[in-house]
Amino acid sequence: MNCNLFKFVLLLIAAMVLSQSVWSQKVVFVPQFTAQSQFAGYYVALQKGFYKDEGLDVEIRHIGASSSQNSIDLLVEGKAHFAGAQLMQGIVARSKGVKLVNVLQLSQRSSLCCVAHFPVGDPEKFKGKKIGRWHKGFSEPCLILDKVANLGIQWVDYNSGIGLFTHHAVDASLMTSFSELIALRMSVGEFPDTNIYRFADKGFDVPEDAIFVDETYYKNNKAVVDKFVRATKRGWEYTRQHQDEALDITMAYMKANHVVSNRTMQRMMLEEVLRLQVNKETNKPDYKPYPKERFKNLSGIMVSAGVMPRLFDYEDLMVGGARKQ
Amino acid sequence: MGSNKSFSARLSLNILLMVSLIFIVALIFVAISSSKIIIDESTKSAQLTLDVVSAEIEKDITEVEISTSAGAQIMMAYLNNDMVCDFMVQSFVNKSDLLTASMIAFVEGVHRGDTWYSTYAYRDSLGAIKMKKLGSEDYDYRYMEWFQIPYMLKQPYWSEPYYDEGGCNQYIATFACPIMDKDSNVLAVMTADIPLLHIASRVNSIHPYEHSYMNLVSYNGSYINANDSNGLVGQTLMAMAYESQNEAIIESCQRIVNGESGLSKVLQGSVASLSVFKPLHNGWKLSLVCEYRDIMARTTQMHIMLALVCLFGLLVMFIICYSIVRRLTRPITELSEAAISIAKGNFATILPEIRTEDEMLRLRDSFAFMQTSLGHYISELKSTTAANERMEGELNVARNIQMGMLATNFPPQLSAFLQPAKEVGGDLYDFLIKDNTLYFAVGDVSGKGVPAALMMAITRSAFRFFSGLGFTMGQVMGRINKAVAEANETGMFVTCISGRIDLETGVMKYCNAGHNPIIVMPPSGEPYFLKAKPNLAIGLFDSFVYEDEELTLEPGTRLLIYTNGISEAETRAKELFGDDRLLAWAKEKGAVVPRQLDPDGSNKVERQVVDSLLETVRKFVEGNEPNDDITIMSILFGQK
Repeated sequence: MNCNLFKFVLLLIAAMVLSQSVWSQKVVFVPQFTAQSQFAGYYVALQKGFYKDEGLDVEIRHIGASSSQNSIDLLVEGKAHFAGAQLMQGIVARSKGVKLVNVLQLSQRSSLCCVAHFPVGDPEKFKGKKIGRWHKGFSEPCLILDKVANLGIQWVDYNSGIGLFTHHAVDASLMTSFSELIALRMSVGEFPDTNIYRFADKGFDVPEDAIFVDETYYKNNKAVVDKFVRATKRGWEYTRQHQDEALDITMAYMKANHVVSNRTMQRMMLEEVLRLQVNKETNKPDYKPYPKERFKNLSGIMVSAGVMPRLFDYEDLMVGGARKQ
Repeated sequence: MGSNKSFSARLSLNILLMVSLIFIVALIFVAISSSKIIIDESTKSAQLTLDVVSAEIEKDITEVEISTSAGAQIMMAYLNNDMVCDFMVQSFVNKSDLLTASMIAFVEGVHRGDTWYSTYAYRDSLGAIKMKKLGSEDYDYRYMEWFQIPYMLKQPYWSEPYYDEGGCNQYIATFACPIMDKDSNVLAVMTADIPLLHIASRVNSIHPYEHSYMNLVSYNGSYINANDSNGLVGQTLMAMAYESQNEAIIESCQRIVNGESGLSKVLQGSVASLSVFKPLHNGWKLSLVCEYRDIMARTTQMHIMLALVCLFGLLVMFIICYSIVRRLTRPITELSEAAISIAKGNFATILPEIRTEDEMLRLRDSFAFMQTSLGHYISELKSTTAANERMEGELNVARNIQMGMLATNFPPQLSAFLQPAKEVGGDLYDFLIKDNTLYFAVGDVSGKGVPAALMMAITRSAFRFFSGLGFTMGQVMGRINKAVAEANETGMFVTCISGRIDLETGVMKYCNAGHNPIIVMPPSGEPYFLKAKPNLAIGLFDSFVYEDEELTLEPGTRLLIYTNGISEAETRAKELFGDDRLLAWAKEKGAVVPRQLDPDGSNKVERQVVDSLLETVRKFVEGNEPNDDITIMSILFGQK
């Protein structure tokens, strides 16, 4: 009798564990930077239970600000299932042999700027200058410009912030329109627009924020990837519709992660991130994958500029969720 | 100020008004002047407070800078000795109450070729000093600002405020100083972490006024005095400025982050504030904001007190002023009462006694003179009035007598009307029928009033006496002239027309002594003025021989005799009725009246003629009072 009861309890526990694993798939998502409203859509999807609705138990694991690793490094190391990274980062990584696939192209525009202490109408102005860049990446368009125009830029890698620029340790610095540029304005006030070189306005409007997964993981967990992508899109759509609520969720998330910022800056950042998600051709946030023709052109330029070692097929990277759209 | 107010009240109120205006102007001047002084003094005071607090903060940060720089200098010679490095940072933290941590972080490759090597001493939450080795892929200090900026610039650097998670778990700022060899190659960076709590507390405790506050921001504008209660954690000065959407605040904050020293005035909503600011030597910026309502609070209180004192003073002044004016003007009141009494006829009213020899005494004397004169005048007036009343009565009697003298027993062929311009007149008419002959006369004595009336009475009596005695009309007029001339010592004269009509034959004998011509209205044909010989008016020469003339009247012929009160009747614009209008009337109105005598024996037919002319003249003069006697006589020679 006691033996039967014991077996029954064991069966019950096994069933519960099994059901948990079936109905609540644990996944880890690593955004490319510390907590901020750049990732509001993910926080909203988590907070509003959109991931849970898809049967996913998502953990958003930010990389420490002081870490030299980037999100793709963690994906490669198997410490994350989904990584947020810029499209060109993914292209470079794939070119280097990292088996990545792009499952969602959130951003449709480039936010990259090169902000200088001098007017920058002509790229020649950057010749031989000391320019700050993120040591974790994100700087590929400027690296291409450096090579193509033979500018001989002296690159200064840094972690984050605008300190190198405001203390005049560098002549110019790469910044994003949704983060550092806003932080600069919040710090020094008005800054002359003539000193800002916006790559999107100079014919180098390459989309940025995307979600990547390991190719093997993708092949084995297509359903999970689809769910994650669906819930993430839902999160961003909700964010677009309820920006104040999304900001509340983001600020609470940042506070819990001891990330110090102010609502004004985070609001401006979110507005800019949402703007960057709007496809300039359709004028909608349609999350369209990067077009094949443009990919070919971009890859060619990147290889010739030495930013990536070799060409590869568009389908290798754009397989899966992104292609389906 | 109502008109029923007394003179004292009105004068006092006027004085009060003028003094109030002076007080108000003075108060405004005082308020403006004192406000300016207070604002100037408060600005100086705020700047002084700013200087004092900045000196205190600078003292602390300078102490950290000097000790860290000295440590960096010393460590240049001992970088290859890990134990000395450890001892250095440990003792550095241990000896300074200001520090929570210190670190020596080596440049890549300097410490035995290592990518990272650092020695870090810090106080834990219990205050014990602990040691750590930092530097890894997860803590890659090579790309951190506190390391990178002093490394690149080869200068000391103050970091932005940040939360030291895992260390002292509070907001800190790091002072980083490069350790360089003799060739100025940076080998390592030595840091000192100072908690911002005590600096923030000091800054946040400064409240020169109730709503004033002080801010300390970093080189990049982040609040150093941020804490959970003031909601400034993670905020920057410019973010707050942009959030306010106030151009003045944004401009003021821009000046602060630009590192300017000075002051600005900003208005947010209805709250005006003064902001004084200055940079510290390490790039931090200190500012003090004071609201003007706080600065002006004591001044406002003082102004209210001053206004109340003025108000009380004005009230007292009004009471005193009213009493004095009332006392000074009491004789006027008494004189006024006396004047009322005098006006009522009490000329014996006793005037008030004035002891002062001023305008009041002169006024009283004038009143006394007026009282006496008024008594005499009233007395004379009474006599004159009585005489006038008596004369008026007599004139009325004379008028009645004169009007009674006029014949009123009109035969059917005659109607007449006389209206004196004054109580008694100088016009006359008369008629009588004797032996089937109608005698008539119409005259106008020169002048008016009683003398003219007397002359009229004489003329009329003479006409009545001499008519019917068998004289020709020329002889009748000559006798009347003589009778009048004998009684005429004043040189008056009478124009007169008299005649007689044989009622059987229609032969009219007439004599015109300077009078208006008769209008003849024959039964057929146009009316016309009857020409007459130029006889003199009667009363001028007693021996003048008057000639009469003859006209045979057809049956139905009407005669209109009148005085110059008709032909010279005038409007207010001095336009005369005139002979033309008179002749026109005769054609249009007089000639159309029936030419048949009333079979009843009344004279109503001729009365119509007289009334018609009278109505026409009255309409013409449009209500203007006649300035001469009016007489009309209409005679119809006709059959019954």
